[in-house]
Amino acid sequence: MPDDRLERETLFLFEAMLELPEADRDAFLAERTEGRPDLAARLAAMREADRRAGLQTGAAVDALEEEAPPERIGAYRIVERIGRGGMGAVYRGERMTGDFAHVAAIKVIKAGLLSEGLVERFERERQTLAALRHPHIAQLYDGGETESGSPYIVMEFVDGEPLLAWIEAHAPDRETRCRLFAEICGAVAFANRNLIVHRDLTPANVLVTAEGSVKLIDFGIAKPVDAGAAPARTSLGSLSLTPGYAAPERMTSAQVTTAADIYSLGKLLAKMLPPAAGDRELRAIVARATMLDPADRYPTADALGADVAAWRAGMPVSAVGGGRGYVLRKFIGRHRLGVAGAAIALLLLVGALGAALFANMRAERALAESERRFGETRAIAKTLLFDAFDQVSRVPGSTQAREYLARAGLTYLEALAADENAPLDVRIEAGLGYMRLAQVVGGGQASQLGRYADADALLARSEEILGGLLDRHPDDANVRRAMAALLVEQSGSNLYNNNDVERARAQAIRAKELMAAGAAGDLEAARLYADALRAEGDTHNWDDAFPQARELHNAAESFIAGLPAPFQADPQMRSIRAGNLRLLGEAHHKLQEVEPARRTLDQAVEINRALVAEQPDDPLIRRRLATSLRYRAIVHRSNDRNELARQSIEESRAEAERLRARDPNDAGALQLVALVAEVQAQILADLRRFPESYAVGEQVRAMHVSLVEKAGGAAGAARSMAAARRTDGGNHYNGGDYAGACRIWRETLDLYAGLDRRGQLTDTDRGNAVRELTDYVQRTCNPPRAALGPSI
Amino acid sequence: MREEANTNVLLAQWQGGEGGARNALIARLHPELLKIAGARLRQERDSSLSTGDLINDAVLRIMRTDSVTPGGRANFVALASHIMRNILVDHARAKASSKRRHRKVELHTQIDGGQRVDLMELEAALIRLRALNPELSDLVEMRYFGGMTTADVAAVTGVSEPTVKRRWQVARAWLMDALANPVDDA
Repeated sequence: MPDDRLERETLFLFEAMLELPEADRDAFLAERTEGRPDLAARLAAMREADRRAGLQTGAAVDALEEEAPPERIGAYRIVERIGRGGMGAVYRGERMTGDFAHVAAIKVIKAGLLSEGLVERFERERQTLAALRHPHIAQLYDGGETESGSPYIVMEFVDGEPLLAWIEAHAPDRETRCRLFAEICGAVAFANRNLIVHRDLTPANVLVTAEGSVKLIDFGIAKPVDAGAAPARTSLGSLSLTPGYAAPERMTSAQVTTAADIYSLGKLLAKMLPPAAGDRELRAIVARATMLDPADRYPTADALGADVAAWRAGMPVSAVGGGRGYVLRKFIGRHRLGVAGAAIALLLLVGALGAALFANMRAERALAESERRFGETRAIAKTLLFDAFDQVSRVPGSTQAREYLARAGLTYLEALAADENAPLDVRIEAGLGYMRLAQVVGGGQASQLGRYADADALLARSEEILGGLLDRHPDDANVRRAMAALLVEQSGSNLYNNNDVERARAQAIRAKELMAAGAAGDLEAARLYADALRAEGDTHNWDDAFPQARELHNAAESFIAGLPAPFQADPQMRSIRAGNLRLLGEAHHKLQEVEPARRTLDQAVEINRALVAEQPDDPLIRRRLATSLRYRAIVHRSNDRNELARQSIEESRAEAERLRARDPNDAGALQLVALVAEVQAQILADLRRFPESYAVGEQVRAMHVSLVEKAGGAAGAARSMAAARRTDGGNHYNGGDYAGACRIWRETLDLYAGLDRRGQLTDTDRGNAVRELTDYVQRTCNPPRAALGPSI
Repeated sequence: MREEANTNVLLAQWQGGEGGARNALIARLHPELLKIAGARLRQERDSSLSTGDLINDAVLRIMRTDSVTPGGRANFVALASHIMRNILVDHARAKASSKRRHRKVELHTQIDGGQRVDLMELEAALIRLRALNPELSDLVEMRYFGGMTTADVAAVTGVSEPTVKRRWQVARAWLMDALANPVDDA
């Protein structure tokens, strides 16, 4: 109900706010609305409306200017303009790749039209969207900024008709309409699972191709108005908001969740399959999808699609009835999916708890006890995301289950994070929640699913939340710690998965700087500071800059040695120290400091053995033990201590295999086994046990093929594979199998060529590996012979 | 000549506080404004002039002189804006009741970059805004229905132009929000 006093206060404060410089407005409103969530919400809605109004004015002015199409955009030659509107234009572009022309649609948004914040969002989302591949989603290829500063995106060119126009022209039967809707639901569900919201699902954004198949366009992108389309029916649409299809919460400042897409799907369904007068079930489905409160809608696009499929098949429809039982069934049903073995029992327990709280939450809402709801939502999120997550982590085979838990928890946390009234610690938790999810799907060096591209997107989301908090609370210790933890995580991901050494180093340094003050007095800060030093040193190792690496790893050692005894005894600190010692050993080794290398690696192995003995179930610690054993084997080997090398590598392989056996989905474990086995094959070759060496080499190849497949285009996986193949070629050469060596080297050069084509070949690889392999192949392979001497 | 003098006299009398002069002015404005509204509502969208431009033209035509002060002309336009609002809203109301289906009648305003606003929704929001803050409601009327510039509004209301701009931003944001979230969602 409108409240005049509240409205007058809102108007008064909004005007007062406008008199202040942009930078001071947040603080001003925060102060003046303290303890007044209603007032704060009204002002937030006003600011959002103001932003929309401003954008529209600009859009209309821009629409008056005609602009000649550019000749090129990025790598594309512009063929023709296929659409034009107030915000920019859409072109058809071509790019020559090999013998055929690659055609793409290129959307250019006029320079200066998007606010800085929107450009940033546009950039961030572009990266997320590029990783989104689905047969019914128009693929986003690339993007950037034109010379005149207009942001643009390059996407799959879809030769199709807008949905409703197609339906009108073809008058398809009910069966076909249902199939089209199922395809749309599938595509939206897929995107939503990847935490991407379309935001503007309308018939104009659903194209039907000549083959009668659906393609969704404009995913998550501020929508340029298409030329030829009818003028917006009301002037009040925002940048990416179409009246009639946009969920009601989109009109306010409330955050946009996947529930907004469900709403639009419901509206779309009503247009595609107008319910006949007596069709109670179809009406119920549309009604449930378009409930005013997002929490009352279908939880996923899949659930909506399933209900439509049930309706078509004459089965009972969940939208009829609904209620608490529905929610519980749904919860447990979802827990059954993708969860293996022992994890199920625990998950069902957690799920039941969640459902109970959830049901309770609904009852509470009726009583408008929003405070309690808040607390309970948070409790569910924390349970799913932190407590249950940690417990499940110890259960073998739980990688999928952990991903599920993290995603489920995030649904709640995301809602809280977007709430401007949420306490700071809740918003920090949401940021860290994304980091956790990233660790599971592929960012972390521990057990994960190997989907690096997804992980990067999640880390970017975490950065968005935590970075925003840090801007507003630069001196808050919790915010600083959370940001530092994220930076160290991102540094590792950029180094190992994305091959982006510069960024990895910058992130490690920023984490270090955030923690520099007072690190010695706070355990968590001390851990992060030491870990940041380790991560920074690691980036130098990666670049073969071993003196710099040694310096930083020594700095981490002295920092830890100077800490109070209880800090030093902390298991996590010891684990960080062991990792640092392992890298220090590597630097010593590369600098040919034989004894320091051996001593340092023995220390690292000792610390890790003790930690494993204390916590035998922690996979991360086992992983570190395997890694340190592996590196010690490498050092022994290059100092001709072949027998010690063999012992160390066999112990390492056994540890790594144990981790892999815990969970076949765990790409982190698979990667570890591959790295260990690569060294093992070398040591077997040193011991002249060539048939065994070749067999292990073949195992390594198979593992890398699977890792590259999972990595979804991240350069790290292909680079690792190339390095492993190069080593294997050397083993074959040393064993006298020159033909085999040449075959493998040529294959390796192909891998590097592929990296080069994608702009992912590092200068180090170009200068070392590629040059060396080209030389080997030239000298020894035509015909294969021992041109490099007896061994290399 | 008589008419010209008469209009200016009426304007002066109105500004001097004579209610009768106001009525006389409205009587003079009304037929002109009806013509403008009719053209607008017949969706003659190819016209490059907005409603506001046409009102200004009409006012100048009626006054047939440049001798009035800028403030006098602005006041006259403000009055015209108010009349125009009544004409358009009456028309929209009649249209809505005569059709079985609710058909939207839109106001096409150049003020916000050629936007179209549903008239009945705008009217409902303006009535609410008047209850909260009559000055803001008048401001919207002058801008949306009369197409008045902020300088003209400043001349009419006697506040500085920056203040008018700021209040316009407040009013517009409130309206955008109100139109996006109508209170009586039937």
